[in-house]
Formats: sequence, C-alpha cells, structure tokens
Amino acid sequence: MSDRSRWPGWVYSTGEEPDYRFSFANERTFLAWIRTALALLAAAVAVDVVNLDISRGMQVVLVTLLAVLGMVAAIASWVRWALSERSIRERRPLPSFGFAVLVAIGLVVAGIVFLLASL
Amino acid sequence: MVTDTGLSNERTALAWQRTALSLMVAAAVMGRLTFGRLGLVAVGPLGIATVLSAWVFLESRGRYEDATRRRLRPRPRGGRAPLALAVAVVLIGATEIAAFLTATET
Repeated sequence: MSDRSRWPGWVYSTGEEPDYRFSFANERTFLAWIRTALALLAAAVAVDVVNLDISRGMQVVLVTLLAVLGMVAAIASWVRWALSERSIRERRPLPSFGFAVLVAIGLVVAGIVFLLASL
Repeated sequence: MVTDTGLSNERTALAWQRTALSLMVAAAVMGRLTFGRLGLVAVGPLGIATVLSAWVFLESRGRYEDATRRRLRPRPRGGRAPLALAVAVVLIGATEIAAFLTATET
C-alpha cells in the first residue's frame, strides 16, 4: 500500500505500511542524531565563548569545524531517517550510512587541534 | 490494525518533545550570545528556528493524543517534522558561525 499523500514521495510511494513501532524506532534514532548535532553546536559555542588561551586562528578552525559538523549531522540525520523509512517499507535491509564515521573523524581532528593549540 | 502493545508511542512523543524543547532553548541561548555581535540579523534565523521547533512540539503532542485515545495508527506522519528540526539546527549553527566570524573580522 503506497501512500502518495505523504511527504516525501520517494519514501512513501513504494513498499507497504510497516508496523508503526518500527517507524517510531526510526524516528527516535533520528531524534538522537539531532541531539548529537545540537551537542556539536554546543561544543562550537563553548570554544567561542570560553576563554581557552589558544590562538585566534586555532579558535577559528575549532569553532568552524564543530559548527559545520553539527550542521552536516543535522541534514545527514534527516537523509538517514528517510532512507531507513523507505527500506523498512520495502522490507529491505537498512542502508549502511557512513556519517557516524564522519562525526567520529571530525571529533578526533577537533581533539588533536585542541591539544596542539593548548601546548 | 496494529494495537499498541508497548509504550513506544509515548516514548517517541517524549523524545520529540525533549528534542524540540532543547532546540528552543538552544535558539534562546544563541540569541543571548549573538545579539550583541549580530544585532537584529540574529533574530531572523533564530526566530524561524524557534517557530519550527514550537510547531514540532505541538505536532508531536497531537500525534501522541491520537495514538493513545484510539489505539490506532496516528494520522499520517511524514518527513516534514524531522526536516523542520534539521533546518532549525542548521539555522542555529549558521548564526553561530556568522556571529563568530563577524567578531574575527573586527
């Protein structure tokens, strides 16, 4: 049963309505990712407003890296939600999605930059 | 018809509300921090982020009421509410970057 009245069409036009608990679980995963994105923004704000005794250049790198990572994570979490919802409807395996790795790499880079900056 | 055999609808509604409230708080804090640097420019994106989050908060309440009272699948849920939250995060992040880089240049 495809539903063309729901948005976005490329998610809801295929497959059939799943047990709604699966959709709920998918939404909660999305929301957890949104809160992760928000935490990354909070980290950017912290580097901005707290006096860390690092150079202005390093501060620019850190704030920009963390804030952009948070914004990318927000958009990626929506894309992940939509792809997962479509896979659930079509009873296919969930897609693998690499942005957790991106967040991890970004945080490691931010940590290294911060360590080097505060030496 | 799938009856609700657990509390997953309540758990999900709470997760929506928690996230929407966090975003409203984040927009308020960001407004406090950036207003001095950006002035009224900060009000636009943060105001939109607050409205989007408030809409998602009310929307999630409606879905939950519907699901508990009738034990039916709630009215069609789509991708707009999640997109609203994602856009709100992007707007708050953009405001932070704008405020920070403005301070760098001066």
